Formats: sequence, C-alpha cells, structure tokens
Amino acid sequence: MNCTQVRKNASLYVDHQLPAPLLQQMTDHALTCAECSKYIEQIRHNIRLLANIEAVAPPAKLKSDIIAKASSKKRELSSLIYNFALYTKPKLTGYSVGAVVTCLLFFTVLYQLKPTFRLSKDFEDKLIAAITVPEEPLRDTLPRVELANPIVELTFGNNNREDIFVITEVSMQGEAKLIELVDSPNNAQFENVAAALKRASFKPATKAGKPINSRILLLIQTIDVRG
Amino acid sequence: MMVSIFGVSSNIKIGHLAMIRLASTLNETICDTVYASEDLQLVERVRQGETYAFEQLVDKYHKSVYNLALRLTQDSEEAYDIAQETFLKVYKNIGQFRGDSELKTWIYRITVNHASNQLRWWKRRFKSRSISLDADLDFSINLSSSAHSPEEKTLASEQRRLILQSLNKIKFDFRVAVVLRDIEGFSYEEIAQTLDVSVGTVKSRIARGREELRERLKGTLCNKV
Ligand SMILES: [Zn+2]
Repeated sequence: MNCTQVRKNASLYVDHQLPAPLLQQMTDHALTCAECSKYIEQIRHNIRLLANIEAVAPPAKLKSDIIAKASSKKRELSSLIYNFALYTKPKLTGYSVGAVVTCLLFFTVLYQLKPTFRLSKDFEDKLIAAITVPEEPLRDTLPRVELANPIVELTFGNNNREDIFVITEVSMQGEAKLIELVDSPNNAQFENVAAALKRASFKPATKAGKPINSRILLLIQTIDVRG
Repeated sequence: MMVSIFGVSSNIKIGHLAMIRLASTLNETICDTVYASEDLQLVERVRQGETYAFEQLVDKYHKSVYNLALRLTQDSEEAYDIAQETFLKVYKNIGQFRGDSELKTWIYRITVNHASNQLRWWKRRFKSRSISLDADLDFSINLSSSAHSPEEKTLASEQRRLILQSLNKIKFDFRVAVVLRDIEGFSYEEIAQTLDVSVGTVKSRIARGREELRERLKGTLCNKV
C-alpha cells in the first residue's frame, strides 16, 4: 500500500471501518512511514476536537415559541396551502432568478431572429389580399327622386313653358324643401313648386353610407304630354 | 442479558475487553430500541392531536435540533429559526412519518434540509462578521473542564474556534457528514438514513470533509501534533 492509498483510507481507518487485511496493511505502512503516521494522527486529533465540542443550551424561549407557533398554525392555514408554501419557499429565489434569466435569453434570441421573421413586402400584400374579404365600398350618393313615386306628382301649373332651376334641400328623412328659384322670370311660381316638391318623395344623399342633409340644384323641365 | 455476558467473560477470562465492548454495544442497541418504540407511541399521540405529546416531542429533541443547526450554520439566530421551522414541519407532516426510519433521523433530515436552504445561504453570506462573534461566544461558554491550566484552556478554546471556523468553510454536504459523525456521533448507517444517501456516499463525504478540514487547519494551533 502506498502513501496515497493510505491517505485515501485514513478516514475509514480511524473509524475502524476497514476490513482486516486492509487494516493490517495500513498499520504496517503507518509504522514505517512517518508522514502517513502524522497524517492519520492529524485526522484523529481533529475528530477528538470535534467530539469535545459540547452541546449548547438553546435559548429558553425556543420551546415555548415552537409550541405557540404550532398551535396557531393549527388554526391558521389549510395544510394544503401550508405545505405548498413550505415546499416553494426555499426554492422561490432560485426559481424566480431562473425564470427571469430564461425570459431574457428567450427575448434576446427572438430579437436576434426578428429580421428572419419579417415577410417580404410582395408576399405580405398577397397574404393580406388573400385573407381580406372584399367588401362593398360605402360610396357617397346624391339625393334622388324615388322611382316608386309617379312623376306626375311633380306637375304644377307652369304656363310659361320654361325650364326652372330650383335649389332644394333634402333632409336626412328624405323630405324636400324648396329654398330658392334660380333665374326665374317670375317668382310667382315659388308656391306651386314648393307644394309639388312636398308631394314628391326623395331618397336622401349619403356620405359613407349614412344619410345626410343636402342641397341640390334641380332642373324642372316642362314636357307637354297632352299631344 | 448484560449480566450473563459479564458473568461468562469473567469466568472464562479470555477476550475480556472484547466482551465488555460487545456488552456495551448490546446495551446501546437495547436502549435505542426502547427509545424507538417510545418515539412511535409519542408520534401516535401527536397524530391523534394530543397537544401535550407534541410538547414532549419538542422537549426531547429541541436541544439536539438546535445544536445541529448551530453547528451547520455557526449562527445562533439562524439555528433558532431553523429549529422552529423544523418542529413546525414535524408537526404538520407527522402523518407522513411512517416509522420505517427512526424519529430522530427523520427530524434531523428536516433540520438538515432547512439548514441547506439557499435563502439562508445568501442571508448568511451578507451577514459578514457577526457569525464569528457568535461562534466565539459559544466556545467560551462551553470550555471543556478537562483542560487543566489556564494556558491549556486558552489553547483548547482557540482550537475549537479554529476548527468550527474551518468547518463552516467546507462544502455543505461534507460539513453535514462530518458534523453528524464527529460531533453528533452518528453511525455511518444512521447518517445514510438521515441524508437519504448510500453508506458509500456517507463514507466518501466524511473522508473528504475530514481531509478538507485537515488541509485548512494545516499549520494552525489545531495541527500541532
Ligand atoms: Zn506513507
């Protein structure tokens, strides 16, 4: 047995834990090797020092503290929550640090990969076109006379047989109100035109699909239907 | 049983020493068995909710738990907290104690687990010098009466301070093994049971702990052999 082996077995040797043949070899070696003999003696000496350390009396209130805490715990939490807390408490710091580091690493990697994830403009457009449901654009419309309403309703006693331009306001509800006759030779027609417009039904103008108040310029032409 | 063995040994007058050793071993075993069955009864009573039984349990083990925690952390405040937590856990988990290990090793295992807690380790790191002051206090109070002259007493006290300081610096796993073996006087099997590792692991941890301790104490007052 060489010195290294002796030192490796020294701990078991001083504890009488070696089988007889090894024990004999150790003793033989120690008898002839001063260094190893000293080594073993140092181990023994430390063991003696440790064995001589006397027990310390715990603080007097330890026992009562424990008992008080145990009886309050009894009332306190359900054992499930308590055990969970006790189980996680010692590990919490480790776990949180680990979680934070993992998240940081994850985002760092993700950030580095970001250019790879970006789609080409062309492909992106196609993709958007493919997934977008085409929808009827909401167009702005002008007010118009309802077709269901017979045009005869607009007739009035226009004896001059002249075309008249009128400015009409069409409300959101589709009611028409005469504002002004434009360039009319006689203003006497005003009442007649106003009454005729009231009888007519309009579809209001729309902006982005919603009805709005609007003003329009109407051309009223006189057509002779008698002949 | 002991008496008959003594009788035989004195009659035959051979292997006298060996016989006495055997007798004392038997005696220990018998005592251990008695303690174990006492403990089982105690555990059963605690399980049934008998408050006084828990008080008895604390009374019986709080000193050793506190001392083990103190030796593992070298900090009396820490040891106090660990002892408290240990017994609260014992109280909460008494239903899980199956009696296939001794109550003592079960309680010690909980103590070691609490002492190895990472949070504590960090806390201790930042606590700088107060530890060694604490430790000094412990040794001066517990000076061995076997030292005769004042010089010897001083030397013994200094050696203890040094050895505990070094013990606190070695790896936790090795420290636990050395403390359980050399301060608490546990057998290899008991340590294996307490730490839930194999006897082989225990042997290696004790050997490495002792070697590290020797290395750290080389050339100090502890090593004037
Ligand atoms: Zn040698």
